[in-house]
Amino acid sequence: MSEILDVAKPESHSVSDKKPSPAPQGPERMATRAVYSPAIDIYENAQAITLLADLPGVDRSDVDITLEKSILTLRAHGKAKPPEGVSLIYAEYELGDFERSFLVSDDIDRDAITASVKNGLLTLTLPKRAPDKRSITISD
Amino acid sequence: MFRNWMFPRTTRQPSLFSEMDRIYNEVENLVGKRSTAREFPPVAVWANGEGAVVIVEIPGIVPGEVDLSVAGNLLTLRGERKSRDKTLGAQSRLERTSGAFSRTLELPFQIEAGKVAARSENGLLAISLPRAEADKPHRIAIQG
Repeated sequence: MSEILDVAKPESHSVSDKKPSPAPQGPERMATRAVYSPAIDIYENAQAITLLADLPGVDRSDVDITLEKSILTLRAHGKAKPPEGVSLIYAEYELGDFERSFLVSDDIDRDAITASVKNGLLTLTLPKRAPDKRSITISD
Repeated sequence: MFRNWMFPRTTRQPSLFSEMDRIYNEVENLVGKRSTAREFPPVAVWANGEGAVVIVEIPGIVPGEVDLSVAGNLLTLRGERKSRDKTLGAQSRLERTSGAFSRTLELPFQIEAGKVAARSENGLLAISLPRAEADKPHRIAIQG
């Protein structure tokens, strides 16, 4: 049975909750930005598991996907900035970074995982390995 | 069709509804959702005395497929985010909103329709809406 499960969701905050969550650790981050869990869809057929993630404002170069042991972590740092010379008068979302982790099952071919980003939508394809079939010779 | 009255003509009647909003938002925080929008696509509005910039999150939508129209002080967005691709197989998680949408936003000024511009990048659609000259305040010189 192939599976891809959420491991842990980062803390997320809505517009009404102004407290910024802690930024991911690392020297490359200059400013503290809120980290959000992106909305995802997951599909599965005989060949692969496909994960779609909404990453509005994120360019392909800003997406970082790592697979360590069985944990696949998706991180994205949006470069979108507020427009200049105007003030925010109404908002249904906030700018921020995205992070979400998944547990990947053993039958996924880890070397064949591919990702693409188009119009702020990440498509992650996790192909399944061909079933490991071996005939074992029975000795006398 | 949805009509979002961003700027209600009547004065705000807070208490009960804002309390309900607060509870709704807290529940959403618990389940890890980022947007407080009950409508798709979520919008943010930036403005000054000269006009406004509306930024809409439309990840996964080809920008040219969003239909924008302006009339008076109203901006209408119409489009569709394609639902599941059947070739991808059975779905085990479905968090992304899909389907046809139509939203109308009311701005606090009359829009100069001929000067509206829209630009899209990485699933963010930015629409700049200049305020109509006739709608801007005029300074009146005091004689004598």
